[in-house]
Amino acid sequence: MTTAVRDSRWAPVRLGLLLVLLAIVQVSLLDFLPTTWAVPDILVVAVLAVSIARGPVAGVLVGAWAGLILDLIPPAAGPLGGWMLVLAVVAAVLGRVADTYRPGPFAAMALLAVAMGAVVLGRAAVLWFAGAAVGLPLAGAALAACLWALLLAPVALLLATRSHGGPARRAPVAIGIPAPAPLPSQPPAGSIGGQS
Amino acid sequence: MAWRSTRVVVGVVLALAVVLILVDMRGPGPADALRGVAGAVAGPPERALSWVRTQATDRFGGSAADRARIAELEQELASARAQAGAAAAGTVAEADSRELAAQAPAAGYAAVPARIVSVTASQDPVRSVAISAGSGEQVAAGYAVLGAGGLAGIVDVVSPHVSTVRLAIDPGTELAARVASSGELGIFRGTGAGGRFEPLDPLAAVSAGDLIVTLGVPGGQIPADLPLGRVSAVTGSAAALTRAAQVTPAVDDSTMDRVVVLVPDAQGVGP
Repeated sequence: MTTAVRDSRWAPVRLGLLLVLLAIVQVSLLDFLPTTWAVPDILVVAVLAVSIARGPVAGVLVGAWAGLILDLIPPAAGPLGGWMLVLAVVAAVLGRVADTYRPGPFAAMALLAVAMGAVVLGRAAVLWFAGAAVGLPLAGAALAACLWALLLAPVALLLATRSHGGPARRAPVAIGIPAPAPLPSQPPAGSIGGQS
Repeated sequence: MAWRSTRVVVGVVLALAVVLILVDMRGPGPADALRGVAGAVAGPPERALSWVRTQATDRFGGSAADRARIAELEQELASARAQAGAAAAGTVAEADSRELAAQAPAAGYAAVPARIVSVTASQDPVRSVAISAGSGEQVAAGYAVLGAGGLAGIVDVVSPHVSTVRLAIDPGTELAARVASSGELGIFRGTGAGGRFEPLDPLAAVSAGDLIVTLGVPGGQIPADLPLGRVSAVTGSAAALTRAAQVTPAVDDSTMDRVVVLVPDAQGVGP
């Protein structure tokens, strides 16, 4: 019981540090991949997965933190707060949608991919507003980013629902896998079959 | 009840983000300081990861075309080294940066070699890079960053061992420039995808193929005659006083790896 409480207290800190790590890996490794139009964005996918699994409040906080990291660490460009705004808005809306409709695993993956497209377009909108003009095939970039997100979504959603210290509020229902809490004792087979 | 507190949290976070954007857009200020501090924290891990990446790509990466290009560059390097002579050769540690150093206007500037440590994602509509040199290497904001071919950008935010570079093609870039052949003065502006040269004299002779170079001022942070790019097309009419030339950038920043920062000697770093 005490370990569970301590785990849930440190879970946000661990998640925050994990996001810093993901951001650094993103900008100094993955962004160098010579793919056309878009590279896989593990930081944004992680934010979107958390907000699907844990709802709008967790989503908006994680989105704001991840956005702030991207706005600050080299090679930050554009207005400070630009990434923060886009990720927080998209994560909040995504969390609300996931809370309301409780999508199954495939619907959750599709939802995450669509949200990634919204992030790319929202980022372009913020930069346009800030006067940092856009020189990019935007539709192609958004589409390619969606496809990468779809590829990363299963792993991200699985980790987001399972890895938190405390039991996730919506997790078992949201992507249709057993809750993380009763891991040691196998749940009865009937309950899994009946769930989906 | 729970839904109301959700709205409060979301509202506060979004308001904070909007305030940050508006404060940053008012002009340079706390944003650059915050980014400098973040660079001090994130810089070392970024450098370490990019060291691993460059080791891997130097050893195993590259297509046949890349290797042919490397061979070609090594040949150019050898001839450049022969021209530059012993004086320039000893000053730069990175062997492969010597070609770039040889391009540098030697008088008045020291060449600090660096590599790209991080870039923005290709789906991000704004492009920016960070390099592995900072205030620890005497680099300061406003200094010129050279890539192979010419001016790649200008140092923007400086941290102890990492700096962010505003690329020449960035919409925020605005430089005094001139046409190399005729000496016509004008302003070079980044457009996001390339550049635009606007001659001060609307009747100036500018035509496709002309080389655009930096104007520079004696003792300034940016030396004169650094190539910015070549004119690809001239638009507008002299009658309407709106002539401008589209400029193809001299440096392809998407394949850029090694760069050189020009540090003015007045800082006490010169050879």
